[in-house]
Amino acid sequence: MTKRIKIKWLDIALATVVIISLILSGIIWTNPFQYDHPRDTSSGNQNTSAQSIGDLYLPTQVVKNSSGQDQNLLYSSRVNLVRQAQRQIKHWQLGWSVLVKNNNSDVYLSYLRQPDSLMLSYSDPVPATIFNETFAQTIDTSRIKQVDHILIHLNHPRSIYLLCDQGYRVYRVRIGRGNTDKYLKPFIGNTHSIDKVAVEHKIINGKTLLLYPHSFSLPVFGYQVTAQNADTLSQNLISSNKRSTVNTNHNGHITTYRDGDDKRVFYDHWNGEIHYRNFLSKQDVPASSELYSYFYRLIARTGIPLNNLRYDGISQHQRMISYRSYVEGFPIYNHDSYGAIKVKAANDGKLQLWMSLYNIQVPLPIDRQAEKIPSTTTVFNELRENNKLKDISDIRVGYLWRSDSTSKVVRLTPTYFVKYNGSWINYQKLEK
Amino acid sequence: MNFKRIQWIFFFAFLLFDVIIAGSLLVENRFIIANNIGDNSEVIMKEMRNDSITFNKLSSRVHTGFYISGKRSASDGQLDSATSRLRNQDQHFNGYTLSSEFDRSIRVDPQAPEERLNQLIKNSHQVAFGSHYRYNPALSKGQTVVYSQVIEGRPLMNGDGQIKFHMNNSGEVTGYNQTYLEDATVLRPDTPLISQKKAVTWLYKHNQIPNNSRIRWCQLGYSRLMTTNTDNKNVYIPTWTVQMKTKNSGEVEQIAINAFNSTILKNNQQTSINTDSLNR
Repeated sequence: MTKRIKIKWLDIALATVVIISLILSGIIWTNPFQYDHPRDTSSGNQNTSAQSIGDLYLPTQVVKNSSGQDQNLLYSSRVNLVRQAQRQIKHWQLGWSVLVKNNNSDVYLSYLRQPDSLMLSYSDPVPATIFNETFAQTIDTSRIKQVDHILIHLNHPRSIYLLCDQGYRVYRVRIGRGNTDKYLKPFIGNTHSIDKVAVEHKIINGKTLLLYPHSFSLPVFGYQVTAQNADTLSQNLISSNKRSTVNTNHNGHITTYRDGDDKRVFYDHWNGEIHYRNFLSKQDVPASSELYSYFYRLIARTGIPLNNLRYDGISQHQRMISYRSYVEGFPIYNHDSYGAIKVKAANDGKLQLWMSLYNIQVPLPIDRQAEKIPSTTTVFNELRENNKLKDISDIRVGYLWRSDSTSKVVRLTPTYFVKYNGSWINYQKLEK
Repeated sequence: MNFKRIQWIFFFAFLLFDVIIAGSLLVENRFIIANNIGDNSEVIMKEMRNDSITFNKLSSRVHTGFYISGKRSASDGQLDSATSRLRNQDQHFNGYTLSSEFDRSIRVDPQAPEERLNQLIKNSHQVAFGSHYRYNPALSKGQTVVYSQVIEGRPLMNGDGQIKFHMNNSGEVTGYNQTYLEDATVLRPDTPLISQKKAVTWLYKHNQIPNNSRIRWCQLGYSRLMTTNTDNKNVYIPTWTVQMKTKNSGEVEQIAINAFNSTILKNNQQTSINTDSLNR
């Protein structure tokens, strides 16, 4: 009898340890998210503003497709449209995803123009992990790699669509629990504080473009120009801890800050450019998937305000990311890269960051009429006449910030910017 | 027999696995907690209590706020024009301030003067634009009852939009001084702000709160950031205004902190900016 119980005890004990091991394995499977967390909070502390990594990688453009065929770009000097949509998506719990269609540009275009919907677009694709971070989701990143556009139906949506320009991929993602769409309200009907411009999605030479079929007006903005302190900024960038000493060396209009042999910051007094350089050891070189968060931490360390700064694009074999200041959803361009940041982590360990001391924070009251902007067709025709159209790969409406070292204020004027031989320039420069 | 031995081997193998994994999980978790403690505002608040700083519960809710432009109402401005509707009082306008004496003083409860005054300000024959103002107990002191102009749902914390009612010793309101901010316009979409807890702990970390003191209140409102010469408009930003009192000397100090970026707003150093080149 006792023997039988003994045998049974062994069975029970074995079953118990097996079950416990299963539970523990389960915990480990779901736990990596928690492990990543503390790193983020500690780095976020340096930044005194309320911006997080998700804010840096927010979409920038909001297009509303009406129930007819109309497409309108929305902007507002009052409602933060992207954040409003972000609030809505954060509220949903997104579930399983499925690839609806790929490699078909006609179908892809029909999704871009889907009636009665709202489209949030990034200026360049972001990995799905960043989408998850920004919108507090856990969509399947092994299935969905990149996201260019987020499509939300305005009429009681049951799922959202994630679109990826590369391969014309359309994914459908189910909306699970918490199915309220109250945050979409400002986008439905006509809200007086939201302005709109007629636009049209097109695919030209395999590239998705947002075109402006009619001429339109955009407001002119005034901003105060803020210059960061070069010493503080350089110290923040290169000192790994408070005890490390930074050597400073002046040579003409360049000041060099140095900590050890590897870390340097060059500050150019003439144009306010900061160039940070460091050599990472092999094991410290961030993997491609880690670049987005690695660069965020580096930028947050500088201590500059991140309110207007947005992800603008990735280039150079996916190892360099550029960030740009945005005003009401439109990118700001300046000849001396004011308000812009570029970070590059080469595979050999060379880490570089370029930024300007100058940026804009405080909007100012301005007494100016809205500026008139021609249709994209007019611009294309002018460029074709000058035989420049063939070298143009992209076009955007943005705001021009003219450098003026004597003024503490800047007037931002709207115009078209074209990607000409790989870099963005004001289209009027090509007309001359 | 053999089967039993295999069972034992499996039992120990799984037990070992469980112990190691559970152990590593526990250690890892403890590490996370320890790591959080160093940065946590809870720890800073504990340090503050150790320094004999007393305060009420602080909120960690994140609000949003705007950059706002507006113009102080001067002679012939909106406030001056609205005075033509006022009755039973003797008023005059000087600079940016409307001063008025009631013909017959108004009896209020000195403990709760707002009960009567809330009704009074709704009447446009008694107070011009009265519905734009809200009782602000934090700024009221002794015989002065302060109403702040409300902009985008938050009180204007400085004197640019305020009504100060004067109360005499027998609990009667005899008159008031009023300023008004006109054409308040939002300049940029709403942006998240630092929380109340973050504002206070930031001040402490930067040695702005003396030991042995009491934080009386910490209010989110709008304060003037700068003046411009675009039609004499000013720029206002959301601020956490903190008032603290030193327990020994009884000295009262007030600090405003920019809720966008946690910098201290210096009241005595008025920033003014030349915007001529923008409008040219």
